[in-house]
Amino acid sequence: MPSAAGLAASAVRPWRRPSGRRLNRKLFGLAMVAPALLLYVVFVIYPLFRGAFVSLYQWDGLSPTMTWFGLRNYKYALEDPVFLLSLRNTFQYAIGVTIVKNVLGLGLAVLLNRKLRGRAFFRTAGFLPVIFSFVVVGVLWSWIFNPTFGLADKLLQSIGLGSLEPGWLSDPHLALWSVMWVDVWKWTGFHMVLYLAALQNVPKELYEAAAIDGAGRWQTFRRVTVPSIRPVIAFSTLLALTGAFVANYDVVYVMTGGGPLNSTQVALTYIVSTTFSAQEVGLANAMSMILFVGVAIIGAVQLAVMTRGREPLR
Amino acid sequence: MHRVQRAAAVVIAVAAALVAAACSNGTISSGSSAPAGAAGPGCRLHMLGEARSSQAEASAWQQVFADFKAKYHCTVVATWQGQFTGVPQLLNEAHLAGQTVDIVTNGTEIWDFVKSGSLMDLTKMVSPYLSRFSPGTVARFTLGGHIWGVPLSVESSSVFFYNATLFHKLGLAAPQTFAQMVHAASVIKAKTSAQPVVEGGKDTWEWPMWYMNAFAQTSGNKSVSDTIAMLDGKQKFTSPASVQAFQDVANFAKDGLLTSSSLATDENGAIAAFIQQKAAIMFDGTWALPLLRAAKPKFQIGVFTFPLVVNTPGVVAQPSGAPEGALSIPSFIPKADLPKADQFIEFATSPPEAAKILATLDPTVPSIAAVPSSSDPLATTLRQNFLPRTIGWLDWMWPSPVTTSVENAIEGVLFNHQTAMQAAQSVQTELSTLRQQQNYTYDFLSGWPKSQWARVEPATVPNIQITH
Repeated sequence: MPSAAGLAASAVRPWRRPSGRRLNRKLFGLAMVAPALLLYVVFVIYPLFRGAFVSLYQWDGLSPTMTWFGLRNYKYALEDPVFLLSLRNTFQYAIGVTIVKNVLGLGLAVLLNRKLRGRAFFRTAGFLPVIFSFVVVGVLWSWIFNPTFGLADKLLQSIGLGSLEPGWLSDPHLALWSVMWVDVWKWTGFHMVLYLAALQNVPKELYEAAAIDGAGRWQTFRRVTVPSIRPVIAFSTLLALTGAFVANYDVVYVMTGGGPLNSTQVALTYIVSTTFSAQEVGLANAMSMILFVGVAIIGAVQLAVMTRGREPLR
Repeated sequence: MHRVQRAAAVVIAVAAALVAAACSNGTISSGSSAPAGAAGPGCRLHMLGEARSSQAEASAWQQVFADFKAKYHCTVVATWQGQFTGVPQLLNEAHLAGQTVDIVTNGTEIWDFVKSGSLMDLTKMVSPYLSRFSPGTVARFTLGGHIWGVPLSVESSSVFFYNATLFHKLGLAAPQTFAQMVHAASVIKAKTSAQPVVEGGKDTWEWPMWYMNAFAQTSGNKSVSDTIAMLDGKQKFTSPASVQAFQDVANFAKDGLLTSSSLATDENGAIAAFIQQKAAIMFDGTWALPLLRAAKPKFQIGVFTFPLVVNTPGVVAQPSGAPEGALSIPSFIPKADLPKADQFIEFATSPPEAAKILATLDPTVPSIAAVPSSSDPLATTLRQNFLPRTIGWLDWMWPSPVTTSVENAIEGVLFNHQTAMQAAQSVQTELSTLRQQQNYTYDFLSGWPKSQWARVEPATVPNIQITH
């Protein structure tokens, strides 16, 4: 009969050295993710911590020494009216284009999911702007909006609205909306494709059941389509939102440079000019940290709201 | 299978290690056996600057590089990118990324460049051949008695170009006063579909030229000394003369000369509008003249200087201007490269070589005295009538955030988003903020410690050949 101590000892699972095969498998897995992990650490994690570190110093980016500044850069950033305006513009830009891109993308996807003449052409045409670089798109639309030669004004003239001739990029009240439209034009096709893929995976039986129950088009869309593609809506919205927060530099820089009167100044353009024109690298890093925290909070809240009661996205 | 996995793991690990090595500060040999700047087959100098104004100019630079290689056995590799306003950013990025830059073009923001310690003090290095530069041109790149760049460009000035053929047809003369200009604009609007004045204001660096020209007059032709006084804290941007300058600029929009379309038109767009006769007058710099000529407009081009906005006796219109660019040496140049970089600057600014570059710019006044000037009749007018009155760019003295603030202030007053006083106050606030937050001082050089000077002065002045 085994002793109590012996039983206790046998109950505890002894540590076993992993077999050579298991170790190899683990090492192989690590080696496989190592390049991506290394790049992620070098280009994302390290700059994030380095940026947080530099934000506590006064530094022009060139001097060999940095001067300890504590939290003063954060104070100065939050007191800077142009930075606050650029944050407001960034949020307006990000939230505005996210809503419009997704609504238009979903609308187009629903339309192009039906049997339609020339469907393949419209799908391709809708996606085409996605493959252009933002610089090309920005230059293209700058010329369309040009007050002297632009097609936009010519179009208005041709339909008898020539007297309007809005300052697409010169009116401080309109310029940001014009730039936002360009973002929407470029990315709607991408979201359309996401939604098309999702719509094609909705079981047909659900639509048949809804039809039998006498549901109309709107009811079917609201009660069947939307719940079925909800994870994709969450994913697409998150993608659009975070993208709009951090990928608006090119289009703003090319189209307006942040002007007129800072009306299209977004956080990224202002951070870049603070870094390289004003050479206040510490201050610019403090601004980056503030933007990072803002985007992280919004992204987390948005994800939590849109996946409430659902399996989290993996 | 396991062997394949193991081999794949080893390959990936080595690749990752190589990536890590490439990202480190360690240097990777480019295959050359000699140090970068030392003479010999491996000698290589890196030059950074804004995009050249034309293919012809870029080719001329290549010719100079080839001549330098033939004589000194050293290759010059140039990176031409963006506009002159972006060069400080490019230099800063190169420095932060650990890239080698031996020579940099310096077309603006001399104050910022020097303040950040980015440039090497060239005073002792260029003194043996200073006499080759046109009078006054080196002074634009001199701060605190030290030379930070030598000009290899054209002396420029801010002017109004106008459609002389149209003016003649409408019975108009080139305006000399603001009232005459308003009259000309009203005739142009009444009798043609062209807009009176176009400005490439989307390139925001154009706007401060309006303030500089107006302030030159409202300050009683003391705008340079008054600006230094403002930056020294002895005067303010809210002084009556400065506020009046903002108001005088605002009047160009208020009186119908300038429309808000200029906010969305860049310099090239403005030139296109002028060439295509969609605008009768264009405000720009003399550097635009070769571009205008190259476009072969179907009309005669005329020039006039900023109109008189004051009636003060003795006060004259003083356009702002300066040589468009200089060659400088970054303070972070590798020590071994300094002799060859110094030699290259001497070589490129020598009259035979400089002539190759400047000829492509059709120079009104070349910065190298022995290089022939343009024979364009308009250039002769500019040379004789305008350039002698030209004063330096004020934005070369302003710290960069103040320049940005002036740009915004001009946009604000022109299109009724700010009063002249509010505009002036916004610039003053920016300057005060700089003083408070960044300890800004205009005369920063006098406070530099020895360690700072050691960073920007050559340990020994290289012994170079002087081309005679």
